Amino acid sequence: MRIVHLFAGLFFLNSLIAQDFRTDSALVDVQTIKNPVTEELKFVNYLITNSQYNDALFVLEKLQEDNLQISSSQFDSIYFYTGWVNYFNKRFGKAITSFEKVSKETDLYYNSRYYAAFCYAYTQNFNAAWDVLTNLDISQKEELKEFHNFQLACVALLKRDLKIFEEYAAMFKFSNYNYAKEEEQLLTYYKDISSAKHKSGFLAALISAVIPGMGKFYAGYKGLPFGALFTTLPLAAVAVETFIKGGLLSPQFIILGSLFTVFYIGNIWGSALSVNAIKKEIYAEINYNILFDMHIPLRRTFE
Amino acid sequence: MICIFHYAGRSNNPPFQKADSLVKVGELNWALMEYERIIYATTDNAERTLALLKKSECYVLLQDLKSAEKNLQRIFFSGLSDSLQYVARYNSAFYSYLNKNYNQSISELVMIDNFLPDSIKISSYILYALVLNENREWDNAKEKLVKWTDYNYSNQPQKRDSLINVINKLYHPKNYPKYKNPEKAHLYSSFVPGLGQAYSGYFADAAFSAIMQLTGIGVAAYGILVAKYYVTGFVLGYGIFQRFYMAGTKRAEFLANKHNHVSARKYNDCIKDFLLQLPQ
Repeated sequence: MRIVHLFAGLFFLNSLIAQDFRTDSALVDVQTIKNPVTEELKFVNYLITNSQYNDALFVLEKLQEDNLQISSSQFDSIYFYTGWVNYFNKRFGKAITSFEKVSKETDLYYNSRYYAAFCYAYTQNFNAAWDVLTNLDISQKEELKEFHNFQLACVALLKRDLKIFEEYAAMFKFSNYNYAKEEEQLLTYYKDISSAKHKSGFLAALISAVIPGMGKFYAGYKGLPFGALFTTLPLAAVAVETFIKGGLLSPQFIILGSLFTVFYIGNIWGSALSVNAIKKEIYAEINYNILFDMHIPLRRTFE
Repeated sequence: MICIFHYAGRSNNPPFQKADSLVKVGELNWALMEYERIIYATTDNAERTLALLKKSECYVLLQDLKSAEKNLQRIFFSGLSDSLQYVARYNSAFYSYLNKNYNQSISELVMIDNFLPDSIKISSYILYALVLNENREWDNAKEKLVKWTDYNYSNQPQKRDSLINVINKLYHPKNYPKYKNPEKAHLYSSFVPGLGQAYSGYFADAAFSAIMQLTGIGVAAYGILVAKYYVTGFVLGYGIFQRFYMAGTKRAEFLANKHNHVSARKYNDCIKDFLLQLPQ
């Protein structure tokens, strides 16, 4: 009887082992059958890496049109890649829409949020960029903390919120290769912005009224004033001569005096506006540099 | 016209069937992607090159010559057969030529000329001549055409001689466009108003420039000597003279360049018409 039990036991064990093997081989089969969506996503990744953005977009659109079974994580990848392609093609509005569709459940969530923040910043929507970054919970992502801090500092500087920037800059460690240099650069821009002297448009206009063109020199346009001076002064001399020779009501004086007046007043008005214009030019250049330094670490960190 | 698709016969090749059929039904953007899929999947450089060539052909059908040219710059030439290497380089040179990227086109044609056998490279000489014409290297272009004629008509001496006669006439140095030096034109106009424009062959421009500068001097003379408005006369007269003097020198330089472009274009178009009638 024992022998019968032993055989029965052995048979049962054998059948269990055989069943296990069958399960293993079935698993292997499932793994070797390639998922068409995953394969297409690998292809999309290749296309983006090789700068074939239009082809990548075509594949992504087709993936959503075809009636394939797409899992939620695959949808996340599709949204992320779509955002990425649009970002590379500088269609930032569309990129933001796609990046914001990526769900929290995927690892691409953090990438997509940082890219979305950058796209907002690039389109001058600094408050939206700030909101995206501040709403991002990185408590579980220790490795992103310094990077997150750097990105917030960039947006704070773009917003010209120097106090907030100082808070984040105080936490710079200058240790991560991906953005140590950019952290230093950011401090330089901060110094440029905070040390920029406030210039008065009224004072520029007043200086130009005394010496034509010199208001622009005061505003910061070092070459322009002499051009204005050499146009206005001869016209002034002409107006004076026609006044002396022809009198106040002579047609020569009325025509040439009016011409001088137009140039003279135009020059004063131009000097008043030039203070704001040069400020905009300098700020635009600084913003461009900040965005550049915000963008490079983003690519280094997530590619 | 002189574009060649030697690889067209390979469209029965299985990996290309889908993409080729998409081209046939006009789904060009989809076909572009399918050719790229072949490039992605294949480990065979010849197949990859073929896909790149076909992708560029698609871009041409989409009238995107820049992308067609850029796409062919992705080709790796190592290990390719002479004939495939020829087609790849030739098409690359051809697209560069169409994009007026003449130096790039020449660099591809030089590679064909230096590294491929005579029997293959000789077919590129018509395109080579066309590109050299655009670079104003007419003597070199003539040399290529004579070689092409010698090779293709070696069994028909009469036809060869008559063609070489035509080539010699077309490329006679007396027929070469007369080059006007833009710097000289600038210099001439600096000394004599309108002379630079006249040197470039634009006499109406020359007359207008001279008249306006003389008007400036006239206004100054009238103001100072007749009306006794010394400052006004000087400022207005000098203002008019100075504007037209500066503009005149720049215009003379521009017109010399325009003359060079127009005459070279006229001459090259005439040769191009002749070359395109030759059997390829």
